Amino acid sequence: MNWLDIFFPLVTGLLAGGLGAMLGLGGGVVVVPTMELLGGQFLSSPHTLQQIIAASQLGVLSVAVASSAGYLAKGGFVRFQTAYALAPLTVFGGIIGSLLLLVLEPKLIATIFAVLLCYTAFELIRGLNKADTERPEPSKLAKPALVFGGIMSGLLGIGGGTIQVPVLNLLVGLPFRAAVATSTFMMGFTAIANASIQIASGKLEPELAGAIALGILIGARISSGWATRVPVRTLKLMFSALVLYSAFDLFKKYWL
Amino acid sequence: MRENRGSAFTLEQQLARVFGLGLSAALLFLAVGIFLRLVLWLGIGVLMLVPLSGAVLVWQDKGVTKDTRVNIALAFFGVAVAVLIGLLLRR
Repeated sequence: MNWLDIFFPLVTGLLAGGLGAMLGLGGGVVVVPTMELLGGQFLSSPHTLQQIIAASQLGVLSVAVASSAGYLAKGGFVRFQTAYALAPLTVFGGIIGSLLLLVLEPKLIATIFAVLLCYTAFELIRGLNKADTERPEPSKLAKPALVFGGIMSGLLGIGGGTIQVPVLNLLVGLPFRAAVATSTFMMGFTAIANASIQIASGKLEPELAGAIALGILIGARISSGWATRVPVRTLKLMFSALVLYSAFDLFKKYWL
Repeated sequence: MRENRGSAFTLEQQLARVFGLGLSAALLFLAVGIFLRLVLWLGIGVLMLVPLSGAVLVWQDKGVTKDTRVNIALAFFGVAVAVLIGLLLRR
């Protein structure tokens, strides 16, 4: 085994964990494209997309644990009742997503996902100047949107934060920071379900997953301390930029 | 924040301790696991146990509503279903 086989996934994990904890994402939007596009150049034997997605699920779990630890230590950010009320939806969505991965045309799924990401960025940018107040009643669209987020997480190896954070913020009505913290907390359960499918089915490459998870744990732990100091407007802008980048990446991969 | 039965710590503080300890243990096991595969699996196992332990803590809390307990049970059921599906896919 080449030293880059450990070092490259570790650095990818550091980057994914840092961004993930700060923006309430699982880091899969960084891990999957980076490992897939650059893995061939740096690793002695490149991994298949399925192996990368399986390892990414464990990375998502790492982000969830590391950034939740940071938010819980600060106190007041994670809304437990909301998180547990909605977690079963993302867990079952994740299971459906993992099964759909076997039957659906990836190009179709990726296209729907990219369109949804663009819409998410548009909504967040549109709401930049709105006051960050709590919504009295959650929208009826919140639950189906979270199931959809879970499906995408199972299908694409992402944490689902790209969907969960805007849903918790715009449809459930949590303030943005609380939405980010609650999303990372919820992600833990979804990632356990998705990772369990990958582990039990024997598709997880432990060395790859372990190196990514280790990098993510370190990166997420460092950046969750910074997240509460960054202004909400900046967080929203960074999140929108990342969401648009992910959409572009998906379009490029499946259409160009 | 709600007080937990018989404890000086709030639920959030207890969860913070569980997640913090789990994080440290997982970091240690994963770092050693780069050289030892068995320890690597231990690290992966610890990572998976942390959110589950957190859910058990919340379940036991006095201030938690019945609805939340039902939702936690549903999430656990979902994880069990996921393991079962994974095992079926292996065959």
